[in-house]
Amino acid sequence: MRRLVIPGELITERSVKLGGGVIAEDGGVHASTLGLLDEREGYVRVIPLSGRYNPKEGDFVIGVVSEAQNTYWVLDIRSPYRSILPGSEFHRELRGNERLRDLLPVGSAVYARIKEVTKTKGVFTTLRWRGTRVLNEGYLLDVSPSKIPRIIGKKDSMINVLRKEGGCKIIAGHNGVVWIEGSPERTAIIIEAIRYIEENSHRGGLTDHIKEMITQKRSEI
Amino acid sequence: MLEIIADIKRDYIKRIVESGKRLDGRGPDDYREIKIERDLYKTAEGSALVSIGGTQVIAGVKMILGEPFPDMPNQGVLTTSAELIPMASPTFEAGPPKPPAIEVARVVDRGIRESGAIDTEKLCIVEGEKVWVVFLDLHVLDYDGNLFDASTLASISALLSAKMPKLEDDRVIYDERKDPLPVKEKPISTTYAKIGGTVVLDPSLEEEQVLDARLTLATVESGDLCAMQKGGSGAFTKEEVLNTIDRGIEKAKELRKLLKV
Repeated sequence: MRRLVIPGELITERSVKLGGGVIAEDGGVHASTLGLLDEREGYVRVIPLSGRYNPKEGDFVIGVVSEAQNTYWVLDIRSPYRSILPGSEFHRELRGNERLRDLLPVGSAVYARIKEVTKTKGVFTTLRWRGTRVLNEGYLLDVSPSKIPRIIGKKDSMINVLRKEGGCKIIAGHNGVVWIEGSPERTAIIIEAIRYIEENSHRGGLTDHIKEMITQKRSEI
Repeated sequence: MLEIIADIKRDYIKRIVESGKRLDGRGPDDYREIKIERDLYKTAEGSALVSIGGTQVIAGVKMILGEPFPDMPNQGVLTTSAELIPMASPTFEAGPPKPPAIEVARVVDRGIRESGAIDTEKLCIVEGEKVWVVFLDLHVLDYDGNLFDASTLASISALLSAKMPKLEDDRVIYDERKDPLPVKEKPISTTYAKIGGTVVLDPSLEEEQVLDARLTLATVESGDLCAMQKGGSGAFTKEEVLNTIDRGIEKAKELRKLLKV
């Protein structure tokens, strides 16, 4: 069981490698956020219980185009920082008189990879990566970014159960947005299951429970 | 700040609503869970906290002595204000009230004023000189759609729970409150959203973000309509308006039962 820590709480006075949610000050390592302590050999981090998404290089995120400029798009990835999708990072070149806003108008949804986060927290994303794509249909569900690892599960175990048992296409972005494509009835079941995972993320045997839950709900429609 | 809604999400919500369902499994004429708590604050003459689903609004009633308006020398004064603080939603900004906050205050005010909920003549102390001024303040704690109904319900609950401070000569003694505020009507507001071609009650935040038009009705116990407010860029047909009024009057009866202590 992981220990709950509060901001400012002293975690260790040993010299360790620092992960997220911690700060080194006055010769000790302190928590900088309310969360669960993840302490391993020579490494500590605090997994925040809640909060906005903090972009990290290599993450896959689901974003909504909020601006379409001449050479780049601005994506809303539910983060405090402005995130850019340069025109050159779209998966194909412009043809003829095409402008960027013809390719992805404001309101389009994309599944993108974070290519770079600069020191000044400029976020650059790309669609030139395997798996990334434009999302043309479906529903976007907002969840807490800290619950995404639980929704995906160890080696995708949980999300595969959701996909297989629920009969929907599902992508979970690291930024706390989940894309679901399927019939309204099936989507509703997936939403219910994800809300259940969010609330009961600390429990064991969740994957089996979700499997049963979805099978039962689906037999009712 | 305006939040951009993904087009695919907008289309999905419209499809669901047009098929006669709701995202959260409600029917078209269902409210989310409503909770009312009265008399929360000792410093206020009356107060109430109302939640409709995830939306939470606090209403507070304060009374001071003041002058009446020259054209209504024998009537007390009602002043309504609303604040949408950033804590309630990332789209709310700090600073003086902006149009959305003003609209909430005005819709609530109109419902209470036009229904004659407060017996303002009983708030007159010396005609033309001294009357009670009732301040009705609304604080939105959490915004999850349908502020109008939550705010009106909180306001009327706060007014019903309000006790008048004692008046001794010209001094107001706030520590001694006894008589209830004279409330003679209980206006209830019901808000409908038109999404695609369907009109549904109590829009959630997501539904509010995609609605074409909304209609707020305030009705009183007799079934009379005393105020209306239309919002959004879309339009209602005449049949839709008449139909919505019938639905609203019927629904208000259910809500009015919640006001009984």
